[in-house]
Amino acid sequence: MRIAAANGIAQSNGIAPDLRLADARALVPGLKVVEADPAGDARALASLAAWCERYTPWTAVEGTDGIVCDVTGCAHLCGGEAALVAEVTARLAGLGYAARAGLADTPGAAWAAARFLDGAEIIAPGGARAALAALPVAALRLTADTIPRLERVGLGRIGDLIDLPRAPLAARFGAHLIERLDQALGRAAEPVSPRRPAPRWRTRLAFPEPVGRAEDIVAATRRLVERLCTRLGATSRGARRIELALYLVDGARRACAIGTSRPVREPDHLMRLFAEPLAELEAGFGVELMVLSVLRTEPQAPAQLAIPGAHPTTGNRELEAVLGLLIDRLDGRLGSANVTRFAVRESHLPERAAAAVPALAPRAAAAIWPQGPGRPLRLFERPQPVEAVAPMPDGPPVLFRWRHTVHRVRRAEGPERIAPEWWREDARGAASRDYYRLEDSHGRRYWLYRDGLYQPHRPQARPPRWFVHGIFA
Amino acid sequence: MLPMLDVPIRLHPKRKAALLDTLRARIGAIEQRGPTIGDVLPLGVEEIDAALPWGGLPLGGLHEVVGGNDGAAAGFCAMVLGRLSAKGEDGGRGVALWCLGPALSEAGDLYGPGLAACGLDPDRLIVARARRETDVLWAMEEGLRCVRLAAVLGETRADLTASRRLQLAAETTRTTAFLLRRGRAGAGPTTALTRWRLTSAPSVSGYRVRWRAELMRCRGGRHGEWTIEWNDETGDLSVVSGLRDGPAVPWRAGVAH
Repeated sequence: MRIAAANGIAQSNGIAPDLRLADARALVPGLKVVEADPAGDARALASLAAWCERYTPWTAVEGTDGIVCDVTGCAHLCGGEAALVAEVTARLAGLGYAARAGLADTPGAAWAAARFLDGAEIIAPGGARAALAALPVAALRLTADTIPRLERVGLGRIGDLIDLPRAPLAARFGAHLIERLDQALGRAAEPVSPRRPAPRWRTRLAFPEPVGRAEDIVAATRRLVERLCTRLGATSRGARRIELALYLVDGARRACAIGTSRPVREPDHLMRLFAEPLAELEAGFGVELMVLSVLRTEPQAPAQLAIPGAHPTTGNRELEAVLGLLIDRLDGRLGSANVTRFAVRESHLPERAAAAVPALAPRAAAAIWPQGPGRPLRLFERPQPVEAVAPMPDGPPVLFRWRHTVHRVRRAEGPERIAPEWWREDARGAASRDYYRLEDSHGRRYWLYRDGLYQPHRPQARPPRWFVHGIFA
Repeated sequence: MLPMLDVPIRLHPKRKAALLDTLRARIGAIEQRGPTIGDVLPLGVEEIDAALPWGGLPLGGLHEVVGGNDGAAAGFCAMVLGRLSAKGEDGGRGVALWCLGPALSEAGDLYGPGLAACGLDPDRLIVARARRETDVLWAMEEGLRCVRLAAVLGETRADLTASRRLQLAAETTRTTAFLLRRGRAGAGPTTALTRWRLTSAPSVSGYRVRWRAELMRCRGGRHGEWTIEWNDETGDLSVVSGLRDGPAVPWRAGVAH
């Protein structure tokens, strides 16, 4: 068992990482040891990275103890780069972490500044070369075996490497060294891959004092949503997916998202969709920052507002808007696959003749429903097997037993033969069905079918089975 | 101005009838904010319409329909929903919402062509399938608050509190709500305007569908029971009288037309 990390006092007593535990205990008898939890550390780091998303959405975890953020264009929100770095360090210290920050115009230089630069944390644009020259080669994020090889040859500082010819360096120490050098100096690009896809547009609202009451959170959400809708209106787009993130004072982050089936930019509609998810979010110790991000938008044509007092239009658009809100709310709770309308399909098979489509999907005008022989009001998705007694070869059943009840048939209509669709691949081996409309002695009407034909001349064939497929009104 | 009633007065019958109507309306207004006279869907059957104090099914309220294991109750509801949605224009109340509960393998899912055969245009129906019973009631309330629906139907049972909520929501937005359930009828108190029980009845010729409709509870009305026949070509209901109910036709194999 080896030491993974040691705090300042332990290090001053000679405990260093990678020392054996027995040796460490020998050095310092009263050593306090805690078992390392790499998974827990990774989770904590991920939640810290989520916390850092309050400054910029381009945040990623780096290694096991670092976070990289691309703050291009975000520094002015905190009053400048120096103020941003100071605020981040102070807040992280407030959360209980000892953090060192570095700001530069390349990720490589920033990494080096954070870990190796004492004093100035910010490298001015274009000053990477000068600032990095004095740092050891370990500041270049090289592999563990390259660094001693460089030091053995006498190349201990980055400044020694910059001016050397590149081809022999690459041949001797690998192309990775050249790549890291170029990335640090800005000659090669190294984009930051954010943890989650960056939204198109986001707005934030910071509170001078933590906010805990539900009504205040709802009011703040409303303000953010109105800002968003104004912006969407200016660009003729509607929102399809919006996420709201609450940053609490203890460093936690809570988020909820809403989706719509059509582009929307009415604040009332969006607020009604937010009502339920917001009610489930817990404010905890208080919310200090709220960020509203739009993850997906679609073009939405500008709508003609009605002039008050003028004659009303057909109201179709208004109907769609109101229905759209209802369907969005139903979708949010039941799932969009469960809010459907019927659409006609070209198929003889009853289970394929009508399909469920999402409720607001565009439909062909005036679908024509088949007017053929009666179809039941209710259809079982999986036909239920019954035991039926019927005269051969294709007479309707005389009685049948279903769900432990015997039904004596008084009237029957049929058979209606529906053959399987031979052109479909999954119809291989399916038998044709003979459907009968049956009415029993109580007046209940059923739709039964026989799967296959009676084949008395082939006694070894399996006898066909009977199923209930639907119930009539 | 009502006359003082401590002295017996002879009133003309017409004036008496008008007086009684006025009194009834005033009492109705004091009791509940009920649907105004005029928002009524007549069922087209004189006996049933006469038994209902409004002259038909009152809109803007909650109705309960109880059925057995067959499709009679669902068919009746589909027919009523079809009439309500056909009444609305395209921009107005022309769409209905049907909320199904989790027990689809027991009762079966709705089928588009079958709905069309019952008089409900499937293009004017939104179907919501919920995985829990509470979600069905929630979906019904959402639909009622939407204001623009012709009718909302939920296949679930509701206790007194839930039915009161639905009734209030229906009254506020003037949308008609239906609760469709299977099982024991007459169970529990309810604030619904009417409660029906629909079961299948044997048909005579096999072409026309017959139901046994029982008006179990009606606010301000009386109990009634009828055997009705439904003509799916014209969409009309009619009451079957004893004379037309001939002797049972003996069963014959494979009657096809």
